[in-house]
Amino acid sequence: MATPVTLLQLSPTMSEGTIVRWLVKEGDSISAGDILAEIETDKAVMEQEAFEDGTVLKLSVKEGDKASVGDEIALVGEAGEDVSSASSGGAAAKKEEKKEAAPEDKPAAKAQPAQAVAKAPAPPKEEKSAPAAASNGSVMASPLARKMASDNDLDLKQIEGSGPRGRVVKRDIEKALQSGTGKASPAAAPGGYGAAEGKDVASPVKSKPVAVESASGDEELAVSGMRSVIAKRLVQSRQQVPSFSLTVEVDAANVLAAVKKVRDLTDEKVTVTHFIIKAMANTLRRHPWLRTQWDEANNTMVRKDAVHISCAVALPEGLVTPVIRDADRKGVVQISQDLKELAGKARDKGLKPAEMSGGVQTISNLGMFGIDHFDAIINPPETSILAVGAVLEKPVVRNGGLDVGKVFNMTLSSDHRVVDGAVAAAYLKDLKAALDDPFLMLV
Amino acid sequence: MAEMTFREALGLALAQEMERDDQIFLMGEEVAQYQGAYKVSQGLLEKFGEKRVVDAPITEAGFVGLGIGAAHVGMRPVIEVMTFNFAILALDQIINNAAKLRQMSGGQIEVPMVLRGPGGAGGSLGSQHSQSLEQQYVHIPGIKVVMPSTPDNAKALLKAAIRDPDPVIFIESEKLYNSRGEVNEDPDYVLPIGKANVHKEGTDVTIITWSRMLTHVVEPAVEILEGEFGVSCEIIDCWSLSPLDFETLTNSVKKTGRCVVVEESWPKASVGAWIASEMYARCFDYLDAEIARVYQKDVPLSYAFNLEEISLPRPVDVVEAVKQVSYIS
Amino acid sequence: MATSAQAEDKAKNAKSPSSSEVSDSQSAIPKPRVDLPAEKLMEMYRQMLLIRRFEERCAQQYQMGKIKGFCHLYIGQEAVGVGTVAALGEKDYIFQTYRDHGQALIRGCSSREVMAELFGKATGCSKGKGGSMHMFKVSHGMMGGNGIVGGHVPLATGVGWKLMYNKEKAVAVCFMGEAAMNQGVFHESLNMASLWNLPVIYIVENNLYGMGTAVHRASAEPELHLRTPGAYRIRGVKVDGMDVLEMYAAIDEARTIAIEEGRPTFINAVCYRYRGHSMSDPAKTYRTKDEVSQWQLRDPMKRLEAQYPDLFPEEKVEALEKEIKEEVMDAIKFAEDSPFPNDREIWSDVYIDYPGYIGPDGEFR
Repeated sequence: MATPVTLLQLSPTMSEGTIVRWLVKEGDSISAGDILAEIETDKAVMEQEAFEDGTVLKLSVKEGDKASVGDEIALVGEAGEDVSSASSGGAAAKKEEKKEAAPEDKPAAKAQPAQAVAKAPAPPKEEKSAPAAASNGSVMASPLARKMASDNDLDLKQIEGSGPRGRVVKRDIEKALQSGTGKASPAAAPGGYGAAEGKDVASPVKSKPVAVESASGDEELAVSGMRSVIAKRLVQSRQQVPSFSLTVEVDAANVLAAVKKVRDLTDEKVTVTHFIIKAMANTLRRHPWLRTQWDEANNTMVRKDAVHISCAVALPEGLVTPVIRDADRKGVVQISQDLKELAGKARDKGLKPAEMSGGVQTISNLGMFGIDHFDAIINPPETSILAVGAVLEKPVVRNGGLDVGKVFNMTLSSDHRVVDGAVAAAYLKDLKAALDDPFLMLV
Repeated sequence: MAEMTFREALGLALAQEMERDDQIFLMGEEVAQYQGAYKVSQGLLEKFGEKRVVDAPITEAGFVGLGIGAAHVGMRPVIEVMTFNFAILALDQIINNAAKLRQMSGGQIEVPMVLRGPGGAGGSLGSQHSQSLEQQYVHIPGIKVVMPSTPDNAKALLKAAIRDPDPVIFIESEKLYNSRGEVNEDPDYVLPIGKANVHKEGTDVTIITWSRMLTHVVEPAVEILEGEFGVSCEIIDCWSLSPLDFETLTNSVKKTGRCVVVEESWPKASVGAWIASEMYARCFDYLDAEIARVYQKDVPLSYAFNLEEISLPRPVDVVEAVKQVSYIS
Repeated sequence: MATSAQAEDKAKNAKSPSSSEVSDSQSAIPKPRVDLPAEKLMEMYRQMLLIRRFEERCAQQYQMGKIKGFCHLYIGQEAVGVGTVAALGEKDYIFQTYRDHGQALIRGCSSREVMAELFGKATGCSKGKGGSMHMFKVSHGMMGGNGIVGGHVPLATGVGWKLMYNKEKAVAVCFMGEAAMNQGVFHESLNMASLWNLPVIYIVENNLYGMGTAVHRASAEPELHLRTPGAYRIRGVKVDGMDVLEMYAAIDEARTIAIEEGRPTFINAVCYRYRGHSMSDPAKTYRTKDEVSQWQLRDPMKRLEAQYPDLFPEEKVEALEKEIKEEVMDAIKFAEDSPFPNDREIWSDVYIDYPGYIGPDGEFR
């Protein structure tokens, strides 16, 4: 019996994808775990792998064509099987899958970024309990386990089920809570795939905007998945988040001195930005309200414990925000190294969803363009964003006298539903103090 | 407190109540001179006379209907059916009269009657005499259904049933008649109809049961489960099947996250099926496993000893069910 | 292959009981069995007329859609109910079948209450919960109409038990159709009533047809009153149910025997319903128009008028007709204007005391 292979949801916001390249062709025999195709999602190019052994009977979607999540993209079965009837079965199955996936959207929305399975992502459990995770990616779990997972932000897909047919049950959740595994990130949201994916999926295929010529000579550009997501989220932020901005000027002298000192001591090319990230993280640790996020869907607030900092990285295709995890526990050298690696992946469109989510505050630095200050749009569900301007020479008053100083501006935009003005101001004051004297970060 | 058998406890309840209210009479087949087919009414004829302890002809629809008739003009009849297998003959009277008179008269009529007698398997009695038919009555709005499990609650619940203003179906497990236990002899001691009893507290699984299943099947199973498998079982005795105390059941299942329903009857459209359905609806987010049910095999009960034994629920069935919902292999 | 037994059956069937009853009716007007005061006679006449006119309006209201469900009219049988109830005491109980509007009207319920019940209104005698077949007025011993053929016979027997048990000087009267005699509970009940000396009067309103089945096609002994003496040692009496005074006399006697000797009586009251079994029965397949008109010659009101020509001058009857019409029209208006029962009423009157529970849907059970 031929089994349809459906397009998986490879990122939390993905609803459709483009088949960039088929890595198998009709008639190939495949094993579970083989990469079937490269799929361009809204943020990155991902690989979809096979869940079952068999022979590729049919590739239902051509390279370059789009498919919706849940659509049949191929048929796998035994060699020589007639696929004419199976395809219609695939279409029917698609409806079923969509139905099942729907209730799982909710926990996904609730599960806000937290610690991700950063270094060693758990092996894809659904492979082991293959019958449990139906081929559409839903997980078998008892109602209690589902509720506990949802309450504790756990991703059921990452938890090995010990019940019948691999069902996740209460004791599995308790075990996961004890060991701290299975923490959900949006990337790993049920129905998604990313965080549970064991391999680095980096495929240097860039999206090419499709140009359509029009009479006037203007060019109509197809909206890429990435552009579409940026558009949607920023509109959402502007419309739904009551934000306000506060600006503060920071004397850069001591930071610059510290940057120089670190560069001298190590080979790492740290910059002011890395120090700012470190300072943000340390200060956020002491300002819980800035780590708190509004959860509209559930009318609650979620306080994030882990301090992950999102870094806006501009790419030709658009903006991405890779995340430096646990920045408060990292030194500036480590931060610099992390950021370099992430930015590289971003340029190669190889960022995994898990590497782009879970931040509590974003830093956006346009100093290299000579912008002295600006305010940025909050990147939900984060509560605030820090816009950093260029380091400029300015007259400063020091010890009662006028001096030429190096200063830069920081503008913090905050979500007023969570963060009041005074709270934001206090945070900004502490952040400024940390940068005024980086030594304080050791205290 | 005194130790006595289940049948003696029932007889004591009847005697105490008849002493208290002269509008109570006991009518049924062989209840008087014969001293009761199961000796529940032993000694009552001597004590209360043949006007109040009445041998009826074998005419179930007739004397059950007569009881309803007497009850709906103010008397407090206790009608004994020799077994509930024979009450089937009186179902029209029970369903169309006892259960309906109050409603169709717009509340002008009360039917404070008790219909009682043995039910369930009796031990190699063959299929016509070994039926658990409580679901017939639980299904009908307008009547209450009580099934005691121990001598003590049998006495206290029969008294409650007699004092109840509505018609009560009171089903005594035939195999329990000889069981012994401590009984509170206080004439004012009654137990509430409409409540379920947490017979034993536990943390890992809730076992819901009633009547004979409690002592003959569930308790021996729990001994094994707790001793050999370390599963802490909460046992709930639903001595009142209608009204059914869903609050107690729900609280327990929410606590343990697991539920096993054990009944002597068949599985289709049974009380256990109703309970399981309600528990799914009420405790859905708390369940860590599907609800398991233990019941009699869905066939008429055979006479042959070995066939009877494997048809009826056994402790080992409960052990298996609890292991299943506890994911113990 | 006709056996002698079959031949005998054939001969019996050739002369059906109905035709024999009709031929009886051709005889001269019988002399009244009892001598009752004029006032009482007037009241009995008025009751029969009220039932007749009320039922005619019921048919009309049914066809207008105001009354729904099953609806069985008492037209033609008025003498049985009126003659019986006239002979009863205040503490006596009566049980009726689903053909119960008549008994309700003359035993405790006002025309308004009965019509409102038929309209399913909260002001009905059973709060609109019973309907046509279940008219109750327990305070007046009207223990309701019962919808199951024979189902109420043991109930009346149980009331007889209570009267015997508490030595009350009253009787339980159980009306039923002749077809109920073939139900098991009828026999179970009569057996016990006789065994235990219960003061019950079982009255078969023998209108000759159980729905559309003639009595001789359903009962091996079509002379129904012959069935009880041999089997249960219960006195069986045949009464002309089209004669209200014959009914009165028979019940009066049975009542005395019940109270003084504690013995039940069985009464075979031969009567005739002019209309079909229910509103949905045109009554055309199983009897002829001629048969109906023959029976109408024996109409109970006409007979009473003939027996007491001085008591019922034309103008008096006309005035009575007018008064009754007003009463029935008022009842219809009252029923029309009355509210339907409150939705919450579905939960009441099921149990006297039931803790109930809130279901998963939040509904009270």
